[in-house]
Amino acid sequence: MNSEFEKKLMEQPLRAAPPEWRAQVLREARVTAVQQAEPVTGWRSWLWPAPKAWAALAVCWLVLLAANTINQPVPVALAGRADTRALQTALAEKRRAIQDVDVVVANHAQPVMPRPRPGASSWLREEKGVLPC
Amino acid sequence: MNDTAQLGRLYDEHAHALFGFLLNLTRSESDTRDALQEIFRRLALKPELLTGVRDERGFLLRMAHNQAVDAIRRRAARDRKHEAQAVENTALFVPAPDADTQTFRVELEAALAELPEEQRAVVHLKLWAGLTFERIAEALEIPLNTAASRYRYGLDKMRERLRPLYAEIKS
Repeated sequence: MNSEFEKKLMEQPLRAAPPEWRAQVLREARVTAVQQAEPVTGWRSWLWPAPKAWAALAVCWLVLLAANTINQPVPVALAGRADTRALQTALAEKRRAIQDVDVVVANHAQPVMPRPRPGASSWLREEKGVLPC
Repeated sequence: MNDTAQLGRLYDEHAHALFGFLLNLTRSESDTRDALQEIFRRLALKPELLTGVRDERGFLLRMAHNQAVDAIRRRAARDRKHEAQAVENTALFVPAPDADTQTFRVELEAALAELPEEQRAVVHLKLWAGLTFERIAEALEIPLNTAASRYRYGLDKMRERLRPLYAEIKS
């Protein structure tokens, strides 16, 4: 049973929502529902969790690819004839220098004596400080 | 009935009650608008939410209460309560034709604003949504006795606050 005071409070009419809200609220609700209901298919479904991250990764790959292409050395086959001739001359000089070094080393080389196989008696002699004859 | 027509029907039947309840709790028209939008967005997204629901109004008021609590928390975090109140129309009741009644309505709004949110929700649902304590308890997900005691405490505070004005109007 409501008291007189409660009845007095209940008599106070509440303000209504602005009339323009109806169209706005219902339109936005439908738009959101349609957008979220659209199935994400194909490669979009694969990229969907983080499309920005995937895009950034793709840009990084493109930058690396471009940098790699720009800094690639020119192939020998494409170099000019003058460059090839200079290279051949330098190569011949190197070969000659290596041959000269080989000759000098061969002239100054000492004959290498084979080391005697260590045996029980040789170990004994070494311990006693006796040199082999 | 298709989903669009169903959504329109829900708005026409319940938006007024939801608006009053949300505005009373949030005291912000923009938060009320956002909360109302969110409720109808969810209903549009999942029309099956209302399947098998016996008390449509109670169900929507529960959604509204949850939205209002979220809005109050967000606003407290942003600490923009005073700014919002300064620029928005937070009038809860229809403007009255005579000065005495208008004064009473203004004071009633102030008295409601002074109530804790949980008491205000119960008082609103009992007085202006016409719900029984049982339905209020279901809508707010609280025990029946809690709903009744919150109403009693809230009403006592308001009676105390409005006593001089009420006596004057009565006489």
